[in-house]
This record gives sequence, structure tokens and C-alpha cells, in this order.
Amino acid sequence: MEIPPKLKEYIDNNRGSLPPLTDPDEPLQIDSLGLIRMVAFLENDLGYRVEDEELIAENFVTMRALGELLETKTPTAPTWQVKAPAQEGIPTFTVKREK
Amino acid sequence: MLIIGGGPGGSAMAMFLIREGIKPMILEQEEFPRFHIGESLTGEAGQVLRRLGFEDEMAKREYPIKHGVKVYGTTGENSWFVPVSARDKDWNLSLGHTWQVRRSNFDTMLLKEAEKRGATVMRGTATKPLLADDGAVRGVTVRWPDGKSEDIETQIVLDCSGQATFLANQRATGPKYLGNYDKQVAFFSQVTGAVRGSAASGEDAKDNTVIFYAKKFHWAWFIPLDKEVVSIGMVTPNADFLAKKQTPEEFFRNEFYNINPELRNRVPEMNLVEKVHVIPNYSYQVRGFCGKGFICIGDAHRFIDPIFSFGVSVTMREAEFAAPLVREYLEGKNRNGKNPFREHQIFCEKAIDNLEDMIDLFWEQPFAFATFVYHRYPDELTDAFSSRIYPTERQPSPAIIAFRKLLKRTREYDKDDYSVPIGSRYHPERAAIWEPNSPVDTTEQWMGAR
Repeated sequence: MEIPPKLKEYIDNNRGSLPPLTDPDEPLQIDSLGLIRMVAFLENDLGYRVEDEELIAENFVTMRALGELLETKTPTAPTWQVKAPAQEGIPTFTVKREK
Repeated sequence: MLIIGGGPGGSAMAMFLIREGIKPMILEQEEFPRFHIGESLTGEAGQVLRRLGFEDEMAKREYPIKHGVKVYGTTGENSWFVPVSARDKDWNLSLGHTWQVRRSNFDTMLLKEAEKRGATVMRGTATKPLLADDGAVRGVTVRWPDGKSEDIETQIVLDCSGQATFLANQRATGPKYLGNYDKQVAFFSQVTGAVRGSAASGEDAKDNTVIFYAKKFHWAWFIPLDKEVVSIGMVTPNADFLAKKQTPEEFFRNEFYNINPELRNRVPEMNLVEKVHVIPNYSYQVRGFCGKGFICIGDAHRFIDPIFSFGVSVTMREAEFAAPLVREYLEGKNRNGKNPFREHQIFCEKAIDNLEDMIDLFWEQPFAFATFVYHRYPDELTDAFSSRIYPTERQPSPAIIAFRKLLKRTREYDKDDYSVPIGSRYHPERAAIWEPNSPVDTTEQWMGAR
């Protein structure tokens, strides 16, 4: 299965200086914390829901694995339409600064 | 009232009892100050210290201020941050801070203050409990430094003996089950010239804890102790150490930088100013840790894994929870039941079970765990990391419930007080995870004759 163009763009932009991916079986070369940001992007920006049980790194290592994971899913309205997306690198805490 | 052990649990226990109008005796076998590991406090441990009136003293002593924990992933390129947080009485979340403590100094401060507030501190070693015919603890035999022994009778023994687990080893409690986290060993020392964060608060605050994750059961810590010195440590499987046939110091120096590339940036040189200590991890859980005449506090009844720095926090929190119950008991409440402190026991057990579910998921499914912390349940997990893990603190939270679902685990509390806990290496669920080919002994076989 093809992965959504926005996701492909996200992946290519998050591989450091590596060139865009062409082979669906090539490892994404994004480390685990980068993959977590990708899960957040899938859910917040593209509107996919990844189940807790699907949160294993193997589901996110190649474009083919991602395609298979997303194949069964239908995106809903992305959450960014409801709330601001998370800032890169900073957890989405809804906390107030201590005075 | 006799408290065994003058560490943070014993001193906090004494000070909370004094607030209830009870003046206890603390029995401590070591001369303070003494070295101890476990230097990072959680947000709620900071709150306990504030309730005990230590905020000004902590500032005066310039204990490093911890705004949170920064965790580096395997490649050292990415990191995530868990801030120390606080809740007000309406459960509004705010950022907070707590402290890092050099334990020799911190423990001495607490013990001296407990004494100043009215506790009697005695040097001596508890050698055995005095048991009544019904199994109730009615005191202990103490060996004084001059070698003489004496029986001390008391209404309640508060076991704050830490990993010595005095009452459990003396079998005054229910069974002590060995846990799963016993295949790792920690090497640690203190270093000067380490590179800290540069900010005043937040993710890069200068005195934050930094954790370096490598892979399952391989990690390192970085905990500032004062303006110059940082505690550094490394945890690896014991088998890795044995295979290398090196001294602990050689092994520590050789392997430390292999844990994570970011360590080279943080610790440019190994200027060690403390000897290299080695402690094998040793996890256990004591069932029936409260009963007639006794309560075990903190490590005296349970220890899992040091990764989240919960030791001092849990022991001080349990001491605070126990103090009013001790007063009520002395006033005549709950005198007739089999276990006057059973509710407290279940309360504490539920909290540490929440922690155990966190730790297990962290090691078993790190990707899911980190996704929960970073993305799915950030608020719920800052609560947990700040050690708000008790049933009165909206636990188990949706995050902990999701952990249990992934671990395919349910928790029950109405059964027999002595049953095999999930944390035991011989619990059928866990034995399968850890030793796929090992037969599961029955508890009775494993315990041997009592």
C-alpha cells in the first residue's frame, strides 16, 4: 500500500541529511524518539488513530510496515483542526508555569 | 515507639510522629554521615520536605534544584523531558521543582533535625524481633556498640531498615518474594567537570537529572550533587560484567561511554572523585508487611528497580501516611483485628503496583511507554513520575490502566495477603517473560520450609 504523501514528506524531512526514500523496505533511519514524534504526527496532523497494541517499533521501521499498519485505518478529522499541534521537541503538557 | 533505621524513611517517620504528638526512638547502626546511593527526589518528595519545614534549609544548603528528567534515546540525537510537576487542591497541574541530594549530607540533616524535634537517636543494631504468641511484634533485641544486648519493648516497631528488610528477614512479616529485576548491576561514582544544562528552568535546567537509555537493561544516570560534583552511574546486565573479567573500576571506565553517544558531551573526562561503587540490583516484595505491632516502610518491604528515582520519595511518603494511623492505634483504634494496618498496607501496595506497572512497561515495551509519556498521556505520567501514585491521587490513571492492558495484567486486592505477587519472579505471568524455558516452581517449593 502507498503511504499518504504528507507522511512520506514527513519521513523524508526527518531523516537528517539522508536522501528521500525510494525503496519501501529500506529502514526509515529515524530513531525511536523520532518515531514517537511520527506517531504524534499521524494522530494529530493526519487523523489516524494508532492503537496502544500497535505501538511497537516494528510497525514503523519501513514504509511497507507503515503502509500495512495504515491499510486498515480510516483517518478522521485531524486533531489540529481542533487544537494547536504540539511544538517540535517539547511534550504537550497542559501545565501552567510556576510563579 | 521504635523506628529501626535513621535514613530518610526513619527520620521522616519520626518527624511525622512528633507532629502527631508521639516522641519515638530511632535505632541506627551506622555512624552518620555515611555514603548512600539514591540521590534524586521526585516532585512529591519535595512536597513532603516542604510540609516538614525544610524548604529554607534545602535552599541554604544549596542542594541542586531539579526541574525534571531529560532522557536521551539510544543514538543520543533525540531526547524527551518529563518535568517535575505539582497539583493544587483542585488538581490543577503546574510545573514545580524538587531537589537532588548528596545522601550523606541529606540523611544527616534529617536525622539531626528529627533528634532536635524530640526523637531519641541511639546507635545500635536490631538483632531480632520480640514476638508474642500470636505473632505480634512487641519489641526488638538490640545490640549496643559495646557488644551488650538488651530487649526493648514497644507498642509498634516501624521498620525503616531499607534493603536490610529487618522484619522480613526475621520472618516477622509474610513471605518476602524475590522479584525479577536481579540480573542487572549498577556501577557508580562521582565526577567533576561534567557538562550540565545551561538554562535556569525547564528541559535544559542546569541541575536536572539526565538519563541515557541504551537498550533493555542498559542505561546510565547523571545527577548533579553540588556546584562541582555530579553523580554518574551505569546499569548493565551482570553477565556483561562477568564476561569481561575486569575490576569494577576498569569496567566502569571502559563501558560508560558505550551506553550512549551523548555521554561524551556530558562527561568529557572521567575525573572521578569518589570510589567506584558496585551494587547488584535486588528486587523483592514483602507480603503482609504490616501487622500487629509493626509497619514496614519503603525499601523495608519492597524494591523494584532504581530507574525512576523513587526510593527516598516512597519511603518518606509512606512515613507520612503511616503517622496518623500509629497515633490512632495508640489511642485504641483497630486493636482487635488481625492486622490493625491492613488498609494502609493495601493503600501502599496499590501505589507500588502502579509503579511496578510503569517499570515493567518501560522495560518490556519501551516504544509504547515513550509514546504514552510523550504523546498519549503526558499529564497523567508527569503525575506518576512526580510519585503521585497513591489511590488518593486519581490512580490508577488511564495511563496505568493502558499499561496493564498492554501487559495483559489485572490487579486484585481482596485475596490472601500472602499470595504470590505479580512482581515475583515465580509468578506464572512473569516467569514466562523472564525465563521462557524455566519451569515455574510453586511458591511453597521456592520458599522452602518456614
